[in-house]
Amino acid sequence: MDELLEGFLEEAEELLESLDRAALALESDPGDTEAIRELFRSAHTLKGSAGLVGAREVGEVAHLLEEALEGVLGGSREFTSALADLLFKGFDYIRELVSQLASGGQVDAGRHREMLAALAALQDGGKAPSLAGAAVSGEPLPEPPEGLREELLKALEEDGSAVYQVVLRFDPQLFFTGQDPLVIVREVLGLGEPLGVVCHSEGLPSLEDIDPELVWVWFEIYLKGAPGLIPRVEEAVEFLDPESNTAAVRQLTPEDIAPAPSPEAEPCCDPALLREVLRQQEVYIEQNRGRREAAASLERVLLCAASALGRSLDLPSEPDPGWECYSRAVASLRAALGEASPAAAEERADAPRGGQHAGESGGKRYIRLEEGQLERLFELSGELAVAKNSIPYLVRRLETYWGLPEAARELKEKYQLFEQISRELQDIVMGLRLIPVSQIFQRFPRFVRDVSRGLGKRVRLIIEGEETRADRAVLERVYEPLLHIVRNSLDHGLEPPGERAERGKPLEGTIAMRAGQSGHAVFIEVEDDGRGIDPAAVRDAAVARGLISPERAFQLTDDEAVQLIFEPGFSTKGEVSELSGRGVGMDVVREVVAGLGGSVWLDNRPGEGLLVRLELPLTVATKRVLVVRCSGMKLGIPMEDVQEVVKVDAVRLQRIGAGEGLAFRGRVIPVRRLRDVLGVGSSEVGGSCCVIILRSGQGVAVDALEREAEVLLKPLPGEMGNIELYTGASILSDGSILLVLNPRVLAAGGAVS
Amino acid sequence: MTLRREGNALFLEGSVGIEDAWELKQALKALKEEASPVVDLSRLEGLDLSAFQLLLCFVREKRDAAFRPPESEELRALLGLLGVLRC
Repeated sequence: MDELLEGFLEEAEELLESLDRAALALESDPGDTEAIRELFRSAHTLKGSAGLVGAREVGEVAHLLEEALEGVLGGSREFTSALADLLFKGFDYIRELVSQLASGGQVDAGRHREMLAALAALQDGGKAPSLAGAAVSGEPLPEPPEGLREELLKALEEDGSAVYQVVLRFDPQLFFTGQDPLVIVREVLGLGEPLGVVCHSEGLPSLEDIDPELVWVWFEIYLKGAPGLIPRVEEAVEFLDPESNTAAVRQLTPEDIAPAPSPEAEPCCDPALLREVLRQQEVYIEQNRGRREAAASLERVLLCAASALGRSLDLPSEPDPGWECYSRAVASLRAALGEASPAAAEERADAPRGGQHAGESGGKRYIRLEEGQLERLFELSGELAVAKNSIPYLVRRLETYWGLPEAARELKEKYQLFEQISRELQDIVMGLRLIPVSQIFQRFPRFVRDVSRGLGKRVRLIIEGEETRADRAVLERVYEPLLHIVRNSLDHGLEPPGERAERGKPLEGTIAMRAGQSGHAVFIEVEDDGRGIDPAAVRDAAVARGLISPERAFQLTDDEAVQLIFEPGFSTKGEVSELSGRGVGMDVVREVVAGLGGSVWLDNRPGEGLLVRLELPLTVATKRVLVVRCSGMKLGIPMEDVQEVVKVDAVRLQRIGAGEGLAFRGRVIPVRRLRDVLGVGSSEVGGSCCVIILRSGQGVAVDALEREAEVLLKPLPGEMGNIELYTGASILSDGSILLVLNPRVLAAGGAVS
Repeated sequence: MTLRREGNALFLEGSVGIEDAWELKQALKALKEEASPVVDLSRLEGLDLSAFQLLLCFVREKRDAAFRPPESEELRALLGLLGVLRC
């Protein structure tokens, strides 16, 4: 994919998030002036960037959004929910267009026209539309050319005259429908007194290459005529198919025909926006320095910016290799904006920069990296951490086997340095892996807003601890489960306003999403103040669905009954709801979280609310495991699942029913012998053994404990990957392979392999 | 339409339509080779956008070309407005 386009796709994603965020903020507080500025700025930047990469449709939608927001920015229009709905519709449609751009798909012309018409209608709800033609075509009209402005203004001053601008863009294949565009141009010209015609021939190929049976040019016509010319223009173009042709007309006002700036005049566009454009060019220069293919678009933007400032820009025909000429050009334009002297601006060109491409400023410089390279760096640093662990083993071998204590000491010293560097590298790499939880939390306000409105519920979303950082891989995988939990709260948990009033609750329901760190784990909670889970209803539903017998259901405590929601196929709803009763259930939530090495906890308060807490590992790159011995084999158990380890005489394990148990601290822990699970050796072992008590409450008896180790866990290859008993394997410092057990299977009495 | 070539001059007569487009393109390409070519439109009675685009390509690539304007006032005005005839 073209790098410029790739950059645009990333930028568009960021800008759309910013648009969503600002629109939500403005909806909850229509007086939030910073939010309206952010909305306007983001729409403007999106439009400009789309233009740079030729994403015409994105630019058109962004332009209409920008226009719709102008009234709000100027204070002449209120920001209503209806306006917010249409803006969100526009953002979603831009997302669709961006996704099509990314996949190389084609834009549906019919749908595009519909969307533009809907957004044009949005403009009508605000200021008086300046684009009468928008209703015909949805196409924003260009500004009159500089050379014609004086004549157009003169014509306007004549009594009783009106000046019109007509834009005609034809279907490239119009000739094949038997129509001649020039006939239409002539007809339009005949409707008034022609003041000028701009024939746009930018796309016209050379005489050698042109296919003369296609339409390559488009027209901008200026007419003087009596008021009321618009319907006549519309008549003249009525036989054109509006899906593939554009015909737009507007009556020009003196404000539309703005005089061209003199060289000393003020900038003709918002200085803040120009500043933003120039700042983006600095980032662009930084990222593309010296790349010949990137120079053309940069020059185009710089020349536009210079023209907007009424300045000329002397760019060399061949840029210097370090692109200093462009840095100087940006600096001089910034100086022209009154930001700083050219020299100071040049100095700043070497200073830290911020922005969407470059991240926040504040003394730091940011670069974009290919994700694959970063992943490889994570892997290598993990492998390095594991490889370094072999050095103490070598030290021992030098001392005891080879009898070289001096060499062993030297190696040990080097190891300490190696260990320090490796640890530092690990810390840095770990930091790279960690992203703030806000990156997934920020997707929820829009989701909650849309869903709650659809359900007719009033919901307030509270987000806390979004600065908490966790492994990108963990957060990306946990997003879908979180979506499901929040969806459940909205659909099943929170009551409709009438029901809440009857229960004496505030009409507005609350969902709180919290994140935080606890030791080497992060937690994410979703809490609502809705109905909570009714244990009786869960029992009934589980029995009705054949998940448990009525007798067993009767025996369960309320807390145990609530855990049934994690059973595959569980639902308390008689009918599948459109929203949350389809397919994915809490069983999948638990499976995903457990797959990450985490767990799900519930705090149910029937009638008052429900808290769902996900406990997740900080990172999935390296794992701390407890290395145990069993029948001569070494096996690993993830440390995050180990609650306690007890060394006992084997005789203390007592047979209870079909299994064994250990009386420990006043209660009986169910114990499985690892030898039995693995199907190796005798299960009746005398002497002492170690019982590892897992967080699930299950005990696992092993022959002996070895040590704790940090390992880089890799999935088992091929067929072995299907063995559920193991979560993966790693290489130990002595070069031996360590299979790491899956605690869930140990707890559930999983298959013996 | 009649296309006639005399020395460095190309004569376009009658009405030029889409059916003449490829022939006109070849004629203009050949004329481009001349040092100071002339396109004589004096007896041109009409043209469509395909012919207009070809003339525009020619004007753009052959800056030293001369045009003899159509006798039809309306056509002359149109080609003037659209930038084919440089006054």
